[in-house]
Amino acid sequence: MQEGADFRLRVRIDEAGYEPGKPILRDLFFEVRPGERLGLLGPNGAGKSTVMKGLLGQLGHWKGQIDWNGLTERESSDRSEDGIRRMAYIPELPILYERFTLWEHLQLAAAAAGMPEDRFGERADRLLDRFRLRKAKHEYPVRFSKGMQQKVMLIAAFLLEPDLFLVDEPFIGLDPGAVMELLAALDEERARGASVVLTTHVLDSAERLCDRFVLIHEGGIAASGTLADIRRVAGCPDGTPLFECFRVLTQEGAERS
Amino acid sequence: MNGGRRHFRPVPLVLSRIVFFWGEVWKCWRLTLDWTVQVYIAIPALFIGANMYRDAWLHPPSWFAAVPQQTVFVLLAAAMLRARARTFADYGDGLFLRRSARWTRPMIAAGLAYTLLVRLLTAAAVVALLAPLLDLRFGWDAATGAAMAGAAALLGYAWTLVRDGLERRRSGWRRVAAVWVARLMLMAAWVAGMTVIRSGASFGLALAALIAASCLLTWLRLRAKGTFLHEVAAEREAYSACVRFLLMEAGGARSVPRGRKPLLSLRRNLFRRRGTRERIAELWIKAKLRDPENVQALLTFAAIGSAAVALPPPGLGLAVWPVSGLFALFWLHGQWKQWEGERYVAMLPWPPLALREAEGIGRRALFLPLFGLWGLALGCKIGLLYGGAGWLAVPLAPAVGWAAGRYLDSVVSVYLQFRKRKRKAQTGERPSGTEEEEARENA
Repeated sequence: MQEGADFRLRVRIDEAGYEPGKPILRDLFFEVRPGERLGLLGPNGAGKSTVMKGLLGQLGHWKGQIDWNGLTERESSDRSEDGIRRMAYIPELPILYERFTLWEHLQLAAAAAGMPEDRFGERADRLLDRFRLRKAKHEYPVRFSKGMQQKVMLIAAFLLEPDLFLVDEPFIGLDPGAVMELLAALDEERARGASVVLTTHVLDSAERLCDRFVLIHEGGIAASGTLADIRRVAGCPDGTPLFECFRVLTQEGAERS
Repeated sequence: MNGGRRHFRPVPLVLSRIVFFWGEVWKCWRLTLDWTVQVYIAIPALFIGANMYRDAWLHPPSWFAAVPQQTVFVLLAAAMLRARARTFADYGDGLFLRRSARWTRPMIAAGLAYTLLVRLLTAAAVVALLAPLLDLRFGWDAATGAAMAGAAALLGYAWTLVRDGLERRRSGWRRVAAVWVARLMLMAAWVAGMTVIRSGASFGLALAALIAASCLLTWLRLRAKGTFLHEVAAEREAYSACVRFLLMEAGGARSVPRGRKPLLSLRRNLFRRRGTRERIAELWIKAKLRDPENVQALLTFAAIGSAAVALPPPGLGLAVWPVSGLFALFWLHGQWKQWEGERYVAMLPWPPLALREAEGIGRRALFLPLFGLWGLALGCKIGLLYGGAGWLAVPLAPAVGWAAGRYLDSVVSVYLQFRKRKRKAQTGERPSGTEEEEARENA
């Protein structure tokens, strides 16, 4: 580990995509600091979810480098298992197994993380209470509403106490109460030092929630930094909302191409 | 343009969906019925079957004399009481079509007509297959056979509507129980009724009663409201039932649990040791024991394996025992791999070796009792054949089977690892961290 590394994760993607020879992402670089909320923003098809899949080691084509707290992972398609185990992914669409109850989904996640059973029971019960799913713990999540299914994903992620949360479109399918709970739970995790990378189209929320932003456009970075940095790059005056900066930057990109 | 307009009416739309449905089912079957299967299995099987059928007619086997007439009624009812009412409803119909009774009723009526037609064809096929027995043993003529097929088809049609009503009104285990109770009651009533009815007049009355019941149930079904989502689910189930056998290993036909909670809750721990690998194996076993298709496959393995071990002479049975065990082990490995590929399972960050070790524990937990059961069947066979000290084989064979099963499992594990490494070496894929550790471990 490098002395004085002030970032949790540093990502450099030279090329990445689903198939070798067909890169979707090119020349991306960003850092995530401990306890920080980083917003990955961009229009549909820009490559936000692809970045997340790359971080999770799910892409067929990956050329790049990932540093965890200053320690470099090897550069290859086979991402380090240890690095991947430090992350929890909350997908945009719930991913569930038909034959597991809610409790068994959590049991499997805890087993994968090597969490002792007594600790799992205590933590899972607390999270079920928090997201108001305790009554349904022995039911099949595939029979839940979409919002409830999304909560199952959240609970499974929070259970693992990762260093980094990858949250794909967190505001889709959740009721306002659940969004508040999600944000409060994320804040608690940030207080512990965990970082959050979230992708969203809801720019108003992103503006309020994120400390810094990475605007992805056509597989590359159009702008990154704090809101002030984004405004500067977009050539917008102070007070311009993120939405307007986003519009300017993506339009510029489209005109250039 | 006009053709398109004609097509977009309730009955033509249902007809086009029927064609599409069977086209999709055929596409799945075509995957298996390629020319090698046709040439080496399907055509020889047809040829042998046709000859056996002809032989049965020309030279009736002696066991024909021992078959009671109720067997025919049971077989007919078993073929009829599997069906469900079809409407060919599509999820998209909810947008516009199903808002209008002008569309809803004709579409459902066309679906029900299809249901009755298929029942008629199925009953006729069963009667045709049983024709040598019906002709030579019971002296049925063509008219009796046709009348019986018609009555069975009406029974099948009425059953589909009864089932439809039960499934719409109940959920979870109550639905399963209600359907089975109704099925058994109808089966008993049918067999008893057909046994009692001997004269032509009473058969006519029974037929009239079945027609009246079918008409009443159809009328009630056409008037029923709020049935759309059930129809969509039933259509999904119907498609799945047609292709499930083929796609079982591929995981292509997914069956979603019907109830909110599992019928088999299995909340207790299955293993006393609570390490990561035992916990993973336990969850896999629970999932497999909740999947009706897997349970069915395990029971089939148990029954066929027992018969394969016990029916031939003991020497041959002893040789068949480990071979059946190998089949079961590879099947269980396939089941594990399929589970491992489930998106939720694949998404989790697994520690090195955890899944491989858990597979061994889970596989053995399901395999050893099965292998022991086959040993018990062999032991019973030896006891029955030789008596006296031969009965010692009853406790000994399962005990030996337990040890032999563990050995067989370890051999399969080593082979699977070897195959995996070889495949990776052939494709030039670099071993993962887990495999590097495994290699170090093996070294």
